[in-house]
Amino acid sequence: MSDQKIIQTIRAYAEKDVPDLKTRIKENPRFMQTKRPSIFERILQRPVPVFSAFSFALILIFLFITNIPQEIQASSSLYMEINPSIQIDLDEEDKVLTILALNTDGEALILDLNNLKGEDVLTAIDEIIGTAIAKGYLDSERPVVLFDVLSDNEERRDAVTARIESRIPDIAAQRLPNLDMVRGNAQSRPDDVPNDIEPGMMMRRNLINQVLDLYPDEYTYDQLSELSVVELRRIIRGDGPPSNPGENGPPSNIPPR
Amino acid sequence: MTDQKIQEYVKKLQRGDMSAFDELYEATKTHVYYTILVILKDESSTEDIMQDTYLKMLESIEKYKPKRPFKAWIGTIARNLAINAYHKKKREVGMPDDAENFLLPTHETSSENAYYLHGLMKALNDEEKEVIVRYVILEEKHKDIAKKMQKPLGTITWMYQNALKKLRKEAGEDHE
Repeated sequence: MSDQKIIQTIRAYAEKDVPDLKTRIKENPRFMQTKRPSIFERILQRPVPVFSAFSFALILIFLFITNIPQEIQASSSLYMEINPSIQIDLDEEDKVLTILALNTDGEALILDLNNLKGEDVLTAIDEIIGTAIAKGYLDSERPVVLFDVLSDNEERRDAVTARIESRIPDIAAQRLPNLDMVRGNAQSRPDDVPNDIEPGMMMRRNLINQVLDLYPDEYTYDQLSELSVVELRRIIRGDGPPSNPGENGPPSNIPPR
Repeated sequence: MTDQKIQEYVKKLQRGDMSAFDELYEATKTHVYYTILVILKDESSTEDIMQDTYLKMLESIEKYKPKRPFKAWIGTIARNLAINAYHKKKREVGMPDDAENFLLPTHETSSENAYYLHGLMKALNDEEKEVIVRYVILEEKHKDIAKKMQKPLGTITWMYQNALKKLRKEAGEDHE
């Protein structure tokens, strides 16, 4: 048999062997959610309600646009890697603005937390570690919590880090005497870290998944794995959507390595 | 199906005409399936990720821009999901150990096609199988295969020629 014939045979048989998942896909609830008429069809089908809703929205925007409180920007962010991975955004006084889960365990942990908005970062750390212990995330012989602080302002970053580091022994002693809280480096890139337990690595993996959820077709996993946590967060925040994604390397507004 | 025809179905889908889904599935299923299979090397997980790929494609179809071939676009989605699944599996159960089953019919629904394909492929080692799948089915270039498999181009070319030689022998024996 000639090479060409072999290639054709493999192609033909390979094509026939692909499972038919159309029915399975169509039965998935996610398929039903995507099954929606276009905006134009909706307008054509029900022009009056759509235009009414549109006008109403415009009026609302007009009435409230000057009264909308400005969203408070995070002054710094604390990353904690317990295995649940979470990000705590802080204001200028180290009070909690938001707590975000960076993985599914993080989501489970956050669900069990009291409302920590407005609480001091040390209170938040204490509560998070307490909840992590209660949920069995820190029951190994030598439990370790990795953390890092990021901020555009270096002074803020150093101040928050110093404050956390100075109080960690007390928090650990009260909650779990054998607990180690170690500072990692969330800005590190894969090449910079010695092994997989480095928190930057874990955070990056979680953030890569978030970016891929937001832009499933625009970046490749390999491409994103070369970026730091800071760079990945910029993409997630919308500061760095790809100019010509996927094909031509990282977006231009991500600083070169 | 031609790229132009595929683009027409994509436009239909973007307009909310879900009847175009079947056509797009048929036009891309082989590319999507083997893109995932070469990464996960396991039929069962490949089917799950294939399903996810099409659902993700539908959820993101409005973001698709026709300047890029649709097959390459959905291939990127498939590859990203497969790599993700690979890492997840690696974290949960250690290194995946399904390589031995790569392109082997492993479950009851495996068709005669799978057995024939296996019959041909049984002469190859896993790396040769991957080269063949990437080159013959996914139509990747040797230099891209070399990059993805992290091997020198010369090695990939040699592996491909060697695999063809083995397949020729295998096919010849089947015919006798």
